[in-house]
Amino acid sequence: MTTEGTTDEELMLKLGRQDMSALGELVQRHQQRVLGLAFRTLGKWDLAEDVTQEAFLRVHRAAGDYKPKAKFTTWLYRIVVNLCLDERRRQARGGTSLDDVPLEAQTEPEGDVAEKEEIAQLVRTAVHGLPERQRIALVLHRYDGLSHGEIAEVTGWTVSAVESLLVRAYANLRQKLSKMKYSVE
Amino acid sequence: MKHIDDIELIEYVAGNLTEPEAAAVHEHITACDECSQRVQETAKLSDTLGLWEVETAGHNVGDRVTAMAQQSQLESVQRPATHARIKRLLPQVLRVAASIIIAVGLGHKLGEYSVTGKKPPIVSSQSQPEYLAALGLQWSSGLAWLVLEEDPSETGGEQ
Repeated sequence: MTTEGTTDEELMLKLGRQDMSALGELVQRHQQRVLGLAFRTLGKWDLAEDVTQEAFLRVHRAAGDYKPKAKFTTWLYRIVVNLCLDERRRQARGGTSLDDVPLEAQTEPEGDVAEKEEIAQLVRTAVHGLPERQRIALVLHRYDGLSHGEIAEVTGWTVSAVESLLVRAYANLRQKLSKMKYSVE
Repeated sequence: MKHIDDIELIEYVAGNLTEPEAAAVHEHITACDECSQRVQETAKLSDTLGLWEVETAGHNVGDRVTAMAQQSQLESVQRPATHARIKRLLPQVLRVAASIIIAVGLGHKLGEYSVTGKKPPIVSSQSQPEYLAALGLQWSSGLAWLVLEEDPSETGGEQ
């Protein structure tokens, strides 16, 4: 049976009735974005995978009580952001700040893509150099396409706080990237 | 002339404004070089940030998630809702326990005013105890003070 045309909220209700195929479909639909968000926030693939796995397990556990009040993705992102914040706190308590861990390389650049990869590396370093809340706001805005209002909904921060975080994040990045090889013209 | 807010500018570049809002910004930047420059800079920065692509295709957690979820579902079926049963029965158990405590407390309190707990002095109905005869005394009510009360611990109590 195809699940095309079925909304995320309908899949959640099916999952609440213990239909495990609905969980598979939700993972299929959203895991790439969740992995991307977790990796951009935490900078390590093993942590990003753990967070993604735990996020979907929480979705499964909560399905029985799920009430489709908010958009599913908003709720899912909230889980992911909270898990990322927990992970960063856990790392900080263990004495290893994720900010000090070198970022994992993605792929070896080849030929023409080498220059782009170099700039991408600078961007990654600059984004990871942002304070935690600015980084999360920026990742959700630039890479996940959320508006500042949606970010406020996901994070639980006030709209004005998110506005301020985004403005500072973009200003910081402009400054950081202009200091590096890349300069914003 | 009022310039565009920073956040409005960021949202304009990101394409997150409503159509009328975007039209208002567009109208402003066509007339304002300063804001037009700011929009271009922000767009350039946004494009540069977009170069950081994340390749997630090699990181699939789907199978693990499904297997773990099925396992936990199986466990919850095998353990037939013990927790839920305890939760359901707990109020009844507490009610019964409270009733017993109240009943015992009331019984104890009422016992203080009860007269049935006080044993009346035993008036012997014996016509003439043997030991009076052994003393050479004739039984009469005047000798009632000599009648020994039976010790329940020796006689096995009142049966």
